[in-house]
Amino acid sequence: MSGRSQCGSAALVALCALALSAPSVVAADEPAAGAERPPTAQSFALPDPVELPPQAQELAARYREVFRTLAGGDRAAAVGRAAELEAQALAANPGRATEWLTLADGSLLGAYLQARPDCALPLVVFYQRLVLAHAARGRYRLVPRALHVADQLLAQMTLTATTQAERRLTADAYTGFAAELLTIPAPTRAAEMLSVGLELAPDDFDGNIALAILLLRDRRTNDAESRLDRVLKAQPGNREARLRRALMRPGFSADGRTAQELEKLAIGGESDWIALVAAQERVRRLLATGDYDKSIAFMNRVLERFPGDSSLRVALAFAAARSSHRAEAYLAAKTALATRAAAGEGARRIFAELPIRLLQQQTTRALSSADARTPSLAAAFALSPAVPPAPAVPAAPASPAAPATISSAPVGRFR
Amino acid sequence: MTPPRYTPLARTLAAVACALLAPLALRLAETELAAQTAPRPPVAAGGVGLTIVSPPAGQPAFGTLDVVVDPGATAPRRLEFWFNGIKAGEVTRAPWQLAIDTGEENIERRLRVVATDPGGQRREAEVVLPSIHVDDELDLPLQQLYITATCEGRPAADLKRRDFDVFDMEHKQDIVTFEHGDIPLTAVLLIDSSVSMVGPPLRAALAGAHSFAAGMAELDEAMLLLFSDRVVASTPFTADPDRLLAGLDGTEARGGSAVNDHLFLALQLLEKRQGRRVVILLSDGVDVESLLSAAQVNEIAVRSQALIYWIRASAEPFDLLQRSAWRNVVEHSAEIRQLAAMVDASGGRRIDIERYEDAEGAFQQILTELRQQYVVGYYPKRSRHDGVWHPVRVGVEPKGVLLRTRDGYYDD
Repeated sequence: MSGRSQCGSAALVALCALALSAPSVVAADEPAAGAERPPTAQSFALPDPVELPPQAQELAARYREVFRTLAGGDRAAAVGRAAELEAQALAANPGRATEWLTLADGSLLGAYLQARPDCALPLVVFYQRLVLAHAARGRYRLVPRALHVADQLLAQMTLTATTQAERRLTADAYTGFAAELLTIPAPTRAAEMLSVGLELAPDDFDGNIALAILLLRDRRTNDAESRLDRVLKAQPGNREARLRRALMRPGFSADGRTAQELEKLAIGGESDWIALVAAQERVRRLLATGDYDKSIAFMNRVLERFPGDSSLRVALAFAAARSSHRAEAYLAAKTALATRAAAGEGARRIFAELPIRLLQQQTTRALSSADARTPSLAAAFALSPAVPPAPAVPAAPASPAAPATISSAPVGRFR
Repeated sequence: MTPPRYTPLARTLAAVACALLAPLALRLAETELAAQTAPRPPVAAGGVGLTIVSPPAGQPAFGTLDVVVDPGATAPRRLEFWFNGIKAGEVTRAPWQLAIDTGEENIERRLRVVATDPGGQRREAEVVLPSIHVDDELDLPLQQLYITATCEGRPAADLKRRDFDVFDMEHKQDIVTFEHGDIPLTAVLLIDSSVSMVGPPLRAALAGAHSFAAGMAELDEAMLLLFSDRVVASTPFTADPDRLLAGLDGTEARGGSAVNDHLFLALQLLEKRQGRRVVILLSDGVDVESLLSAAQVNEIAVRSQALIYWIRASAEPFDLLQRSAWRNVVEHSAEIRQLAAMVDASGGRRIDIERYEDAEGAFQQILTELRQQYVVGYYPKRSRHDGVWHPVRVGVEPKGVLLRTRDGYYDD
């Protein structure tokens, strides 16, 4: 056995142990009002198992059917079945369902990964989707466990990623998961995932911008700035990073550099949402200074590029009205009324939204790689016993390959 | 300079104008108007043959002007029309003309056309239409107050002119016009159509708007403006409730919400309407995308003297933890409070509804209230057109009657 596989085996043991331990549980970032709330942190004594308890065995048998479906290539059906299975288990025995579910799928996962370590990615994607499925149904008590398993599978991938290609693949898996967490939405948790992914692929510039957006939401301005600066150092022309960096400068209404940067972005380069936001923000700051003549001159320039933007025309009407040009104000207002903006989200909304858009490429790559590795899962499934015994817990897991506690895992709380 | 004389004719004209709910400011020339026709020849700069054929240079003109251009031997790729520094539109093929609404103000009008030829060269031409010179003029700014009077929650419908006392800068004023009841109004029904209004909420809001229009009197008019972070749809001013909603089938709510921008737009669209002007905003009031702040809109709202009603589609308190990429919690809270203050100061009011199905009832309440309003007019005794804020206070007998009206105006 090569050194790499020995390391992988040690990691597998750790993974199973972690899968067996109950996840510390916290809520999704912004669960729907009135939705079922996750329980507070809980713990339970791990059994000293050689065999699974009957309830876990029954669940393991059902999980095995789920994994058969997954190995057959139907991820959506597998996720649907697993979501129902777990919901039924929770309804039948709310007090111990998490324990039994964890024993059940933990035993199977350990066996699959031991048989084919390269089958981790399809399992990661499966558990990520399971997280979303539970969140979408408001089953927040089941979210943390699925999330925890996905975490541990990702940790396993990280430990065994020795080549650049494997690190990139693992980074994509983290980033893709972050993108999916943003749909719940769980932005704090997504930021943590993204951060880990970027440690593996620091040159992912879109990922860095996405993380900067999330950090800024969390009021971590300095961290967000340094992320954007990192991008701009490598790509000085990155327009989105330039825009976001410019808008982060303090006292920007009086800051000539910001004004200059916004005007450059608004007038030069592509006529895209970045240019439009730059134009709108420059206009907003000009109006705030009360220099309406300068505002009007600038707006006439940018309206050449964005004739269909009603917000600029409204601002033009305002500037004209405030400078007592009533007829011109009325004309600008009438023109604003007649504009019909292009379909799709407005520029300011794109700027302000959670950065799922920036992570799409990585998400797509992770999904297609997971699909490509589904045959590995099928092979692992074929090689594994129907219901294996639960693995023993390592006595003192302290090596790098065997993180001892949840807190030592690369990701933390789920908020 | 000779002080202005208030002639009996002027007084009579003013009274007639008030009765007809004519413009708020009545401008009377005491001397014969003398149009100054200092013609400026059309300018053709940067190219040959581009000429503004109509309107002719040097002649005062008002309202909607058909600007007709002779492009010369080369048909341009694009012809832009500018009015006093603001682009009014463009045409890309013959006929080379555009109708531009230049308003009714007595101002100098500069019409400029810029032709971009197929090769990219630009040619320009300009005409100047001067204002009419008035040797001497007298402003008699009639101030009108739209007053809602209630007694124990019900409209107080039988008040007389003598029951009201108006104080402008704490000086009692002489009431020169007094109306009650069905005074014509022009309303912009401003409906938030952002993504949170998708489906039944938008339909309920439109049903409310329709019921408002159906209850309007013969001389009333309304237009509908559906907005999100952009203009989603609009209909022209009309007295016909069916026309008010015409063409809106299939309109979908979408996008974010820019309340301030569109409230300003509504006020601007009312700028040229005579008489009682009303904006009815239906929104939760949370503004995320506007370029204008509520304070900036308030500067316009105070001067427009329009009544602003706000049907607030939310049961949340103002201090709810709303934040966005554009404003933090404190700024959002300040914005929504400023909006509420603007509504109160206009003489309108806020009606909170918890369900969109209640929108129709809220529209009906507002219509009923408008039907019962009193209109009191007076000439301010200390008007100096110096831009100073004039606080206004209205007293009433008998006691127990509550009044609501705007709290002042700028003496511009």
